[in-house]
Parts: sequence; structure tokens; C-alpha cells
Amino acid sequence: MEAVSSSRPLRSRYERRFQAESAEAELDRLLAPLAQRLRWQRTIQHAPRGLLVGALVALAFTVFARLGGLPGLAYVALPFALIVSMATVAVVANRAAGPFEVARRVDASLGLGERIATALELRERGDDGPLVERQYRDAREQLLRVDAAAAFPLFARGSLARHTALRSASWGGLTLALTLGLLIWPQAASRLLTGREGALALADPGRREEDALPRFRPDGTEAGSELGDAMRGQTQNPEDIGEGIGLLGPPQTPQQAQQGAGGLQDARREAADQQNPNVAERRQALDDLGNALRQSQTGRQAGEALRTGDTERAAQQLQQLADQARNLSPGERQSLAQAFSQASQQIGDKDRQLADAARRAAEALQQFRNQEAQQAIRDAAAQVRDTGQQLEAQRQLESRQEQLQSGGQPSLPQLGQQAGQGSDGQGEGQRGQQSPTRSEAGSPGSGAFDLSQMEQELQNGGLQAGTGGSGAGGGNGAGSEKAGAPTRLNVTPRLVTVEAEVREGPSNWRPPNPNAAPAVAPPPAAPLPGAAPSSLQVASGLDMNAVPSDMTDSVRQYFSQDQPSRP
Amino acid sequence: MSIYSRESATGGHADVDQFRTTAATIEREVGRVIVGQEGVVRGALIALIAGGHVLLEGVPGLGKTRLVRALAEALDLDYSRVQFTPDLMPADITGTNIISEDSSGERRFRFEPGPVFANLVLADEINRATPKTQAALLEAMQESQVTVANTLHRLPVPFMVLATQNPIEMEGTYPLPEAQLDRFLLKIQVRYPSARELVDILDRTTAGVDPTISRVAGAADITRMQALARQVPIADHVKEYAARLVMATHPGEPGVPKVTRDYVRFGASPRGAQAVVLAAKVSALLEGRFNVSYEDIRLVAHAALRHRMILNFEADAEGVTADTVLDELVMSVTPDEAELAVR
Repeated sequence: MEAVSSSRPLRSRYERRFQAESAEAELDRLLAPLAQRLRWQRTIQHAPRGLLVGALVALAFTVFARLGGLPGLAYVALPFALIVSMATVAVVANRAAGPFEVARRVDASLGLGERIATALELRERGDDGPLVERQYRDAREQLLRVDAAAAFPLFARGSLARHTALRSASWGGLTLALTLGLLIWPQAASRLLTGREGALALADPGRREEDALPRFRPDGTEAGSELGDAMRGQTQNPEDIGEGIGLLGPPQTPQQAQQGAGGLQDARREAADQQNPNVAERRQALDDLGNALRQSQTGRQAGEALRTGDTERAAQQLQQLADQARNLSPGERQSLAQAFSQASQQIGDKDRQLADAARRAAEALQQFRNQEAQQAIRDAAAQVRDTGQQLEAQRQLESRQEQLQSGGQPSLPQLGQQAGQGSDGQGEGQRGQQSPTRSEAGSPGSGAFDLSQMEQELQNGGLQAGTGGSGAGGGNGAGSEKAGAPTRLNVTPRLVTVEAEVREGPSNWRPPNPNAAPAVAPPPAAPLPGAAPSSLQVASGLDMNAVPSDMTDSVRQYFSQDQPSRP
Repeated sequence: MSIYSRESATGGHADVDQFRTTAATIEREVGRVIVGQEGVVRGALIALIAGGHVLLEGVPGLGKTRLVRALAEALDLDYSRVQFTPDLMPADITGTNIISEDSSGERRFRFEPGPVFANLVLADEINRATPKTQAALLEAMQESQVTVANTLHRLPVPFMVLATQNPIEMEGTYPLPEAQLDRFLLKIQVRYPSARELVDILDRTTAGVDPTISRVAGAADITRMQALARQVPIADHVKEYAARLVMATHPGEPGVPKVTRDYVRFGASPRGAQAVVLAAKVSALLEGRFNVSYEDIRLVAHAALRHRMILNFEADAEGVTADTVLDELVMSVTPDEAELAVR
């Protein structure tokens, strides 16, 4: 009656499958429904673990994508993680449960004291005897009373499975959130910064001048300040001030006349450059770049700026884009790279430098070479700005030509000649009064006149004026609407009559306190009759603080030379 | 007197039911004089049915001797008591040949059985006898026989030694050698009763009326119960669990718990594993089951293994006992880790 040791290894016993057909397999038939329930329980309880595994895979993909310069890999992270999770659960669900395993688990779950497993083993071994029979009957009775849901509950309260599932789900959710954060975080940050360029500009001392000035425009538009642009033009090209002054009135001396002639020759060459037939193609290149950038969320603002023709703002947006290139998410990076790549292809030979910058930007963004990407985008921004300035110059040149062709504007040499006809003894006041129309109707003194005629007039009339008297004129610079590359000072001459007293010694005039910000915006200046719409009156005040220190003397001399002292 | 029927002497269904009835009756009768200490009574009964011997360890006055006497009275068995002292000789236990003169005047040696020739032998304060005398019990406990003057004398069946020892009065004692300890199936710790149990003890023992114990089973009943207990089936995975538990007491085995490596010098012998399984089978029957479970193994593990483990100096220095080690082992050795972990 002593139990015979099993001839079958324990491990192989667990590999046995259900034998429902066998007449002796009553326990198998009773255990079969429990096996189904066990598989279901196991599948459900492994779902959180599958989530954790998938989330870890997604996180690994995302980190690898960001570190390895493979932005496209980040996009497959979530789908692949989903596949891994489902595969994990599927593997568990597909794992069959044999009768011995079910019996062992039922015993353990319901505290049956190894009744079922022992009975199954005794029956398989073929043991016999009163105690064996009694044990089998006992196990069968217990098995008939077993409730499958009670034997294999789903996340029973206080169970290890519940604890494990909660822990796995928590870690999985945390990992997934971290993964999503890595995917979208830079994009969210860039959205937060959008629309706050003004504040950021004020916070940046290097950009305070050019970004703060538009805030005081009465009409609130984003266009650049003409005054600021004019002064910026002086800053970038100081020698043009002298040339501009020379253009304002007849030269005082033969040397000035020679200088004026030289300046006009330079202007002539510049005009010739500006009339380069490639300008149209470069304009088209900018349009191509804008169209491509508008298709990218990140480059949309720059693209919109290009679409409206605001090349300066577009260049600024590209500069910001270059600064943020390091923080772009893989998605943004991919989108921007595609935009630049598309732009590069479309631009082609229209603007080789711009196309090359766009191509380099696309490649660097694709390969996560942040420094090269930043440099390439900055090059593109510089190219956009340069092209924009050329386009602006072209536009002004065309405008001047139209004005000249209309015949309503006397040329500066003629005005200077008229001024030179006054007698020397009439005094400065008389001279000033002789040319009121010059300041009112004077056109901006750029090189946009008929230069051949102008040069000839200057050489003739200017010299004559030098012998005839001392003509003088006041003027106000009216530059382009946008900040641009160094250009010739655009000023409109105007004679200012001021009740003043001539004294010996230095002027008592001092520049205003530079720390005092203007409390109110200056009132809008009424456009002068016949003048460019954007010009401002001299009386509206020239902010000397905006003049570079090395230029203040020249500017002050201009505004005070042969004129009453300024208040 | 026996509650067993003659027809049910072969392990049939009636045998199983009567087994439980008899065991419950014995426990109830012993419980008339032994208040509390149900675990001690259950342990002694398990050892009796398993055919082993019991070492009861506890301070004086806890009722160890009274328990043995009550058990003997309830079982209608021969009972003898030996008070072990340093001057006790082996012959005082096993018996000796003495010269006797018959009616014809012829003198010859006659074997005079010692107190060991009884069904229940109480070896009171066994650690006070010399090792020589202690060794006299070795053959009796293991072989159920005594050899005196080249003559083998069979001990009565059932034969059970219940030895007691005091763990605190170690002066002038001779701790039992490992070989002697290994002969005991179980070593049972007799603990202090609770206050409520103490009140009950006072009520029963100071009222002037001694409770009487009825004889509920005889030697034949015990013998059948012993035979039936060995037929209790035990599944392979339960046997593997018992084996792993015993092997976990060996510090040289790979993968044993840290507590074993740190505090155990020698682990339990194979006789310890036999004791565990045998005691577990009896425990299963007493619990109304017909197979051995993990819980049965765990239930008897401490009593069956605590005296078979030899702890090292660090354990003594840190106050770590064998029960402490076994607590850790029972917790760390899980029943189904071998099979279900791979599923």
C-alpha cells in the first residue's frame, strides 16, 4: 500500500495536456473549465506588464532617436510599443495550462491542501488502496464545489497580482508619459514662446533698439520706424552721411563738389547692381522658401513673413529658429528639415546661396547636427535679409524714377543753384527763407535720381553755386521702411526757420536723458505735401540717443550748422 | 476498550474515520489534566502514532511529567519513569542479569528488565545522566530492542520514549550528543501557559478533586494507527518541498538562505527528512485530510528539525536559535517555486 514513487519526472507531468476523452480522466474534465479561467486570468493580469514593457520599448526608441540623430525613429516608437505590448499579452494568452498546473493553482488559491494535485498524481500513477480511494473521492468532491471565479479572481483585493499589476501599470504610465514628454516637449516650449517676441526682444539688450522702436509707432503697425531705419542706415554706413549731406544742397567748395561727384558714381554703380536681372529670381526664391516654410509648423511664421514681403521679420524669425534648433522635438525637426529640403529643391539656381543654406539646414536637422543646422539657418536668414534689402532698394529706385518722370520734383542741384543766387549780405535767415519749398517738396536724397543728369548738374551748378553764395538747406532723412544693409542716407531737405540768437562758444544744447523712456508715443506726423508718406517732420524730434556716439558730432553739426541754435 | 472494529483493521474507510475519532478522544482525555499546551499534546500524539520518540524541553513545573503520565493513562499502555541522575547506570535503564535460584536450588542468571521495557518510558531530566547512561537508550530508541549479555531483548510495541530536559540548569548536566538527539522524532518546546490557562490549572489542581482519565485506546489501536499513518499518500511536489526544506538547513548547499550560511554549522540528517514526512502524514490525518499538504510540512518542520541542526558560535553569540533559523527557512523556501516558476 506504500505509495510507489512516480516513474514520470515531475517536470514532464506538468507538460501533460488534458485528456478529456479518457474514461479515467474525470479530474481532467473537471479541471478543463478552470484551465480556461486560468488562462484568462493570466492574460488579464499580464496586461499591465505588457503596458510596462511597451512603454519601456517606446522610451528606449525615443531616447535612441534623440541621441542618435534618427528623428524618424521616434515616430515608430509608439506603434512599435503597442505591438510589443500586444505581443507580450498574446504570448501569455497563448500559453496553455495543463491539468497539473491547474490543479496546483486551484489547491494554492483555495487552500485545498494539495488535494487536487495529489489525487491527479495518484490517479496517473495508478495507485490503489483505501486511503487513495478516499483521497480521490475527497478531491473530487472539493473540485465539484470549486467556483472558477473564486479560484482565479482578477486582481483580488490585497493579492500579490493586484499589487504587481498596480505597480506595473504605474510604472508603465509613468514611462509612457515620459516618452510622450520627450516627443512633444520642445514643441510645447516653442508654442509658449510664440507671440512673446516683443518681450523677449526687450529682454535682449542686443535687440532692444530694433525691436523696441516699433512699439512707439502711433499706428501700431509692425513696420519698422523710418526714423530708426534712417539712423540705422547711418550707423551701418557712416560715410553716407557726408554724401547725403552733399546731395542735400549745392556744394560749398570745389572739393565738396568733387566728393559729391564721386558719391554719385558710387551710387551709380550701386544702382546698376540693384538693377541686376537676378533680383527677380531671388524674389522668386524667397517666395519658394516662404511657401516651403509655411508647410512646417515651426517655420510657419517665417514663411508668413516672407509671404507678406517682410523680409526683415522673416530673417528675424529664421534667426529665432536657428536659436531654437537645439530644442526642437524630433517631429518639429523632421517637419522643418522637409521644409528646407523642399525649399532647396524649388529654389535651385534662382538663388544658389539660399538654396545651399536651405539644403545644409535640412541635412543638419535630419542628422541632429545642431550647430551646423543653426549656422545654416542663420546663413539662410542673412541671405533673406540681403535679398530683401536689394528688393527694397530696387523698389525705391523705381519709385524715384517714377517721381522724376512725373516732373514734379526739382532736383537738388537746381535747388542749390537757386539758393546760391542769394546775396551774401542777406544773412542766414534770408537764405533759409529762400528755399521753403525745397524742404517741403524735396524728395529723399538717395541715389535714385537720374544720375547722369544729376552728376552733370552737380558739376556745373554746384560749382556755380559755390561761387554764387552759400546755399543751405535743412532736411530730414527718410529711409526705407525696413532696416537694411548700409544704404545711402535718404533725407528730405527742409529749411527750418527758428528764432535764435547767435552766440560765441559752444552750444548749450544737451541730449535728453537717455534713461528716460518716452512716456507717450509721439503724435503722428502729418504727411508733408508731396513728400513720401513715411517721412516725419524734423520738429518731431530726432532722438540723438539713437545716434552712435561717433556720429553725434556730424549729425549735430548738420542740424546746427549755419542755423540758429536748437532749443 | 478499543473503538476499532476487527473488520476495519486493514486501513479501510472505517479505519480512517476511527483514526480521527481515536486521536480526538486521546487529546480530549489528556486535555482533562493538561491545560493549554495543545501543541505539546498534539506533538506527543503525532510522535506516538508515527512511532517516534519525543524530547520535551521546558523549565520545571510546566507539566511535562504530568503530560506523559496522562498520555499513558489515556492509552492503557505500560508506563515507566526513570529519573536520570549522574549516578544512574545503564543497567538501571536496560535491566541486568541477576543470579536467581529456582525451586530446585539451581542458580542461574536471569534477565531482570529495566524500566525501558514499557510502552511509554519517561526519561525525566535525561541530560542529568552521564553519556554512558544516555547511550544505553540509543539501541532501545532506534531498534526497539536491548542487548544485555549478548542476549537481545525485544521491547514492547508500541514503544515510545518521552524524555524531558531543563534548558536553564546546565550546571552538572551532560548535553545530549547529536547521535542521541537524532533519535528523537520531535523535540517539543513546552512553553509557559497563559494567564487564563494558569487560572484554569489552579482551578483543576487545587480544588481537592483530581480529574480522572479514561483509557480510550490500547496498544493494538496505536499499532493500527501507526500502520495507517504510513499509508497516507504524499505527492511528489510535496516531497520535493520537504526535501528542499531539509536541504536548506545545510550551509554547504548552493542557494541556501543567508541565515543558514551565517548561523548553521551542520544541517539536518536524512533522518530529519523522514521525521518531517512521517509527522506530516500523521498531521494530515489528524486534520481530516488523506494526503500530505505543504501546510503539514510546515507545521511539523520546527519540531522535527530544530534538534537536528547544529548552530555555530555566531548564532550562540547573537542569540539565534534553531527556531529562528527555521522560521526564516519556512518563509524563504516556497513550495512551488521549482515548478510553477517556469510556467
